Amino acid sequence: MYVFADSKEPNPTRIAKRILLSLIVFASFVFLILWRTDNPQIERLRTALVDQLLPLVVWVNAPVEFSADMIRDYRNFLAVYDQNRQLRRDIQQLQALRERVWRLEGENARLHALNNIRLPTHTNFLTGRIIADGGGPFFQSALVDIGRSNGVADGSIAVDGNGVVGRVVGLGEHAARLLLLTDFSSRLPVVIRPSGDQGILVGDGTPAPVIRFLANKDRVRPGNLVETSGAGGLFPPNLPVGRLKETPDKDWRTTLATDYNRLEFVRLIRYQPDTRVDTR
Amino acid sequence: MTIRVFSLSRLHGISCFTGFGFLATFLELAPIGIGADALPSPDLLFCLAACCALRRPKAVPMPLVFLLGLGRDLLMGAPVGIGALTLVLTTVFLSESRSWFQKRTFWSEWLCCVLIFAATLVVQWFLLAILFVRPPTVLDLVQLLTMTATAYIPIAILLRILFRTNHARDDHKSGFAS
Repeated sequence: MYVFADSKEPNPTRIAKRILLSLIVFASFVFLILWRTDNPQIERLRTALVDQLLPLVVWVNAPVEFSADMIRDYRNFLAVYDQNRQLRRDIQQLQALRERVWRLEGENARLHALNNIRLPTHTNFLTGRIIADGGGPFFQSALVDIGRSNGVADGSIAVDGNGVVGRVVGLGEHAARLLLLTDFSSRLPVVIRPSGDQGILVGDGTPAPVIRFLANKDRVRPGNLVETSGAGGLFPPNLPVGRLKETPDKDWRTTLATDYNRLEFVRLIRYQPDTRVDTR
Repeated sequence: MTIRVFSLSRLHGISCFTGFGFLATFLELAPIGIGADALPSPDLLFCLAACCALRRPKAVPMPLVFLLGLGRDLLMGAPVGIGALTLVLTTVFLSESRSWFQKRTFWSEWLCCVLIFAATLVVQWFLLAILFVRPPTVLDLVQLLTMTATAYIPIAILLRILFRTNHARDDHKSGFAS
């Protein structure tokens, strides 16, 4: 490094610089180790910084988002005829399904009443806007503009209109950090429908996360529905995650239902599982 | 030993670098593409720090670069400290080797900066692997490298237009001053 060093610099200044550099290197490693050991102070520091800089981030990013929205709208405009045709077809199919769903809902409610089934009592949600994303290959996360002051809880699951997006891993007063399902450290307990086999959806940096610990691989088929299992009680069950697909190397992966490229708003679900003990 | 007081022009350079550093970080955070298949944002802070370290090394003091890098790591949800460390090392290396770059063309400077950025990615990759964190794929890193290499040119041009900082060898009259 010092091959090209400026020889005009006085010696004490160079020594001071070297000491400063050593201190910075040391401090960086300390931060890295604290981060790796999941020290809560690091997450607190992160959320405090996000809270402080949130208005500035929103303000600076507004023109960028505006430009990105314009490009997105233009693309949508180009595809508007195809979308319209598809929507008409979907509406026809949905109208046919609606009557059937109403009938099944009634039947389901009667059966629940007969069997005295207790459904999850408290599930509500808050809607927030994505204001920033991780943007790098080392991490896949996003910031939402709602936080603890809005009633968001740490660990809440985030969904959009199509399915699960991720979960809250950092919570500030006015912002929350979401870990996306595609991130390397994302883990989500899932169930495959209709077989009912359970597994863990593991993010590996690819658009289609892999499913590990699948008990019976012979019973599942490509195209099967992947939903949250609710195992562990952290997340509500039966939220759509995506569709199963098999890779050439015999891995089961999930084509996610949510489209991250179109993600603007997410709903953060506040879920409280029913933990009452039935004493009857 | 005398204590040197910051000159006004140096303070101006430092404040400009700080402002642009924040701007670069915020722009990297813009939610343009989310998810694994989206193109990564270019490392604008690296481009800015490299350009300034080669042109006005006194406007990029080590502690400031470290704090900006650390802030970026924290805001982006990245492994904390790793980006700051590589950013500081890069800036120190470039400012120390400035006299060598002064004899080269802009394109040599660009190529060297791209190679240095590739080296920082390799260092980050190995550090993550040592810490048992699954590092990103080579394809992702190549995408990031390409985006950053592309972004370096407009940032150098922008600095030249805004502060009349030319290529490292003839920028001593700049207002973005040391």
